[in-house]
Amino acid sequence: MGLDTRILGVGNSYRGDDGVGPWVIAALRQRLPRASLAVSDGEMSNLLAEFGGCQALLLIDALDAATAGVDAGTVVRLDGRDAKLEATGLRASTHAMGVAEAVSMAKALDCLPGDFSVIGIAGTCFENREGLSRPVRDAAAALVEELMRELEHA
Amino acid sequence: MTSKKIPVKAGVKSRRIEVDYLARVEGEGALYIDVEDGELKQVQLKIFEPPRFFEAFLRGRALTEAPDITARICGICPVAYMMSAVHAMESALGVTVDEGIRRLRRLLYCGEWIESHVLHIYMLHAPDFFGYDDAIAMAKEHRDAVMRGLRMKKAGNELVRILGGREIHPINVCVGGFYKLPRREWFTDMLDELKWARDAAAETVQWVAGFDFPELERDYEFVALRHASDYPFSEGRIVSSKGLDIAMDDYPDHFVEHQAPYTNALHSLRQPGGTPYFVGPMARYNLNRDRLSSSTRSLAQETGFDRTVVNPFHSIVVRALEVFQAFDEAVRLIEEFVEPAQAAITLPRRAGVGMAATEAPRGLLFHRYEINEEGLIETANIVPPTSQNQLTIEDDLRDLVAANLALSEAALTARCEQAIRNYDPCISCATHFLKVRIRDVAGS
Repeated sequence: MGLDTRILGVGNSYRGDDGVGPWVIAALRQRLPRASLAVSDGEMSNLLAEFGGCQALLLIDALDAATAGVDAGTVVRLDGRDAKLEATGLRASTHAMGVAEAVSMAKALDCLPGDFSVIGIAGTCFENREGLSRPVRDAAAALVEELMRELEHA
Repeated sequence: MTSKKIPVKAGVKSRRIEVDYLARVEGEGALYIDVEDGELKQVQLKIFEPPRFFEAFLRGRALTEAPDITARICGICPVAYMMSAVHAMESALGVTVDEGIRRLRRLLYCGEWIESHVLHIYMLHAPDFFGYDDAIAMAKEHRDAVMRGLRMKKAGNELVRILGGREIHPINVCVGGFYKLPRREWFTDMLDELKWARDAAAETVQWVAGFDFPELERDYEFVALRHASDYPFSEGRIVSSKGLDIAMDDYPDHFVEHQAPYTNALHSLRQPGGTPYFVGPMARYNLNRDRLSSSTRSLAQETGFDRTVVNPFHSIVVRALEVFQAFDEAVRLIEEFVEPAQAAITLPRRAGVGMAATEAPRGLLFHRYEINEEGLIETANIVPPTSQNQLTIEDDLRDLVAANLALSEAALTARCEQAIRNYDPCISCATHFLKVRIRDVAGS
């Protein structure tokens, strides 16, 4: 992964752990102001506009731990082109057409970036509140360090 | 434009059609149709989304909180809830905003109509006319059309984001105006994109006008706002195709809500008589065609739709014409931008009763509030478009099923779902999955 990779954090910061994607982007932005970083609320037409504008894309989103069958704070890396995203419990949107549908639509429209990967962080607290739960916050902080290492050595 | 001829019914056994979870509608609903010995017995559109008690928890809250609280009722049409709330509160307080604020409100409403209508046309309804399961399947063979729709929707999103602060559940609307005024250049920067989108909306009208439409015509009472000069958003009188012409404050005398045992949504009926009625794009269009821009009228003429539209399957064309109208008006409002005197007027403190109806994408949305001297809400009543259309949808289905009993279960189920989507029912927020079960009920 290089600095030309667009990193997109998806989620709603007012819905607890759903805000983990924007949280990671905010942390990276402080340390890598020149990187290609963006956030999205997960609405389909906005996501597709992001997909169409780059060659390499890393999407960071919350997973529903119960649907994914993993513990809170688990970090899952997926090949965005092959993975069955709907089965993973990705829950980016307060709208019905979110990340999974946007990826399916991008495949149908042949506008998915050639290099597309997804990192899901499993959460359990998606109520109307600000801030991440402790396991998700710890996992997100560790992910930021890992991404920094990858970007610095690219 | 062509019409699809539907086979006349033959001898048909008894059966029940159950759509336990309606897809491509906003929220959670089901459809049950019973046919016995070749005769239609019952049609029920059941909304099982739980009651959400918004009217109850508005009580005791400050009148200034109503726009932001009611906006949370719907993620698709939050602007409509905000607009009905601010107009009702301003009516209760006896204040009126200036022309600059009025125009910005119309611009915001343009954005919401575009977002909502384009989503429905391209993602929810068009797949029905081609026989696809969903828009993703449609996209593989209609790539250019879907790409056009997605870009148009994004233009609508952007209008709402600039003026409302964000695309879903805007945060910049207040009683008396806006919390923060936008700068003219925020909009002028997107004028080129809006002009592209207006052309794309014209292509959309041409596209949907060429679909094959099932036949269905009934004697509806269309109900909508009518304004002295403009296509209606938030002002005017409430009129109907059967002679109703009343001020907004008289709404409770002419419409009544009714609890049916099988659904969590209240039905709304015309008074006296207790008859169903029809709100939404077709009602607005039929009652306000002379208020459309000249460009929209020309487009309607070119496509054969500059006339009263009575087949609800044509609603997709009317929706597309309203998208064109919204882009056309948005461009005009930006080019003739009027700077408001202030972001919001100062509100007096007084007790009062305020009512307002505005035109949500899906139709008339009525709010009524009683305010006490401390500026707190004593009572609230909200009548959304889908509850007003629910009985009309059921009546459409009765006629449709009775005329199409010879169709296979799969074809008849698909036709019924398409008919429900004619109204773009907004039960809460969208779902995108479907479980259909059809079984014979003869003798059971």
